[in-house]
Amino acid sequence: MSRMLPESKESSPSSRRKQPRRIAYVFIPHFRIEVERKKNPSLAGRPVIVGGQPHESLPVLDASPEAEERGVQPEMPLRHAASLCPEASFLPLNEELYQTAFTEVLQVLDSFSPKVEPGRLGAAYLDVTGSRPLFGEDPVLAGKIVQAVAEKTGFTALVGVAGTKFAARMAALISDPQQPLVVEESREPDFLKSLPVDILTEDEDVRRRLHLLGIDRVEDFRELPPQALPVQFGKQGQVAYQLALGVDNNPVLAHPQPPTLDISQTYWDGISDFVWLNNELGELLDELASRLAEGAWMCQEVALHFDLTDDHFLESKVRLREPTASAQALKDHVRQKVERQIFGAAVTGIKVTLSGLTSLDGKQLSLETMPIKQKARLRKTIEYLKAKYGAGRIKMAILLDPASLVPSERFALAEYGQEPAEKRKGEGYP
Amino acid sequence: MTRKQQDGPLGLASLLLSGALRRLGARPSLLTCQELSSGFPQLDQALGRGIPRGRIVELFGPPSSGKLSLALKILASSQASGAQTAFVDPQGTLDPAHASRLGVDLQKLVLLHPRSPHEAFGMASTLVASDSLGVVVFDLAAPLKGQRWDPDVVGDGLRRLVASLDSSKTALLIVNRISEGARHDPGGSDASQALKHFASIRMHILPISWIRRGADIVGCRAWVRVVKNKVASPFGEAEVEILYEPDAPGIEGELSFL
Repeated sequence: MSRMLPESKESSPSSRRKQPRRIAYVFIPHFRIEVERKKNPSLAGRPVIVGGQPHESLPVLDASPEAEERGVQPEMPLRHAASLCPEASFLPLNEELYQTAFTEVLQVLDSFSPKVEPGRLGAAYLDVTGSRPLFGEDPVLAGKIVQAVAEKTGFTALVGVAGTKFAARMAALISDPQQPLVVEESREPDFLKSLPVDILTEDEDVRRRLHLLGIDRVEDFRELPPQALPVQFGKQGQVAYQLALGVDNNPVLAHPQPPTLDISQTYWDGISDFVWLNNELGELLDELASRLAEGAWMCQEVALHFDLTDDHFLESKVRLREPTASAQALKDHVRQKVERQIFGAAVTGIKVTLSGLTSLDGKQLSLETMPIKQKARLRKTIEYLKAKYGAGRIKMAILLDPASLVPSERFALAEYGQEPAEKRKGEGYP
Repeated sequence: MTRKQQDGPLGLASLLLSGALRRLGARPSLLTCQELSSGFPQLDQALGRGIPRGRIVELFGPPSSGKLSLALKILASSQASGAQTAFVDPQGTLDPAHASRLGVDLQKLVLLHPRSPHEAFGMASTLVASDSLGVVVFDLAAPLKGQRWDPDVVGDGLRRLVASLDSSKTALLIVNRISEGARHDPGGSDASQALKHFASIRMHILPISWIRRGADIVGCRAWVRVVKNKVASPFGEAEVEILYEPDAPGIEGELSFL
């Protein structure tokens, strides 16, 4: 059952575009807590705080609704949280676990749209423009998303559908799992007008000043003279005004799919001899290793799929401790795995897939390359810092036009690990 | 001699075994910490063997003396050996284009933009403790948006950094304004007093002259005096020439083309 805002009287069907932009926002509240509860069901219904132990001088990263009822808030020092809710279970940050769970959610969402943009942990935008013939009307689609996420991952998702990313996000935040909220096309301004003005900015100072001026709702903000906003609130004021009017042209950017390499072979007679099977696997891995070398890749995961004569199949996965491009290393790990496998029937087909590929970007290795463990440590540390202080605090610089006198044309700052959208190729880019 | 006599009243043998007490010379690594080259041979010599890892190195001097440029040159030198680096930029004033001209590889540079002194030290401490970086540069000379570097916060932050550096091979360079104490230098950094104690090496940088090519300024010449050194003999001195060009030689007679 989905709620739907009534259709605007002013908009007639003839004035609509053929393919109106439709965006769905899928949001799993308290994602870290949900993941921890999925891992340890005894935490259900109890106050849980993620961030560390009470004696550590770290902030709260997420708190369950039970803990929030006692006054615990994210960003609050753990010691303070412990004084407010001493019976809570304090859990350390397990970013790898959350990322794995979030990847599973994204895989489910990938089946609804080719364009899925991960937002914060546990949230994603889907461009569902033109998906009506496949999944039905927007309310039906939203219901299907909630159902698929619940069935395949066990998480309860909130879904909002609208014509812009901002409106879709707001719709999801005020919806509930049983009733995804759908904002009809060109009804975004009407939907937003009664919401609190705080949604337009995250700047506490701007919010405080707006409330001092008696502006509490989005519709109050819209009545301000637009030319005064940049003077009063800077660039943020202009952006907020556009959002208040329901204008948000930000596109949904599809997340890059992790590259994989695979090879498969069919054996009509069936392989029942272990030595023969190992030899075949060895040849397939040699071929894949040569492809790795061609693309200057290393891989960290090997997935094996065996078709058996009794119409069954076997699947297993080998995760290497460190990425490798060595055929021998791959063979050794696969042999160890296969030796422990009980087949029960002859093998009629083998498929080997290499994933977790790490690119060397075609660069020549320096004489003293950074050890892989050190690189992994840095990546983990950056993830931790992003989670603790916000992704906007950790950046990397990209050169644009070093000769330019204007700083914004000389370089761009992007979130660490991501390339900026405004990157211009071939123009002083290293 | 009995076991008790061997141990002595304090149980020295057990202390030695636990690692709490060590004989001087028993482990060479305790006497000499690993160094990385600053990219300036004369400066390396003045410092002993280079910039020590796992220690705090303070670079201070008057405005426009070349402190930040020297720090970026050292950072570039560390990157040349394959290491990743970080720059704590509280005010967001670092010009990556200038850093790039000094030889810094931006792909190997993590930029941190903290909102408060507490956050700045927290970020630096976490990065240093991860032991995944060659050099971290901390720009303490830049004022933090509307906030002072409270001496108490700086003192606590430095204490945390020292603890994190203890088990790390990262060199921490802190760029500071001239620190002659508030009485003599009202414009001096609030953080100076604490930093004086926590830094293993303090380098005083004084500008000598600009290096020109025609009418253009292409670099600066500075005098570096090591006023404190806890890992080698102090009071070494070196003259460095910092050129604002990638891959340009640092010093010593390479300027004939100018």
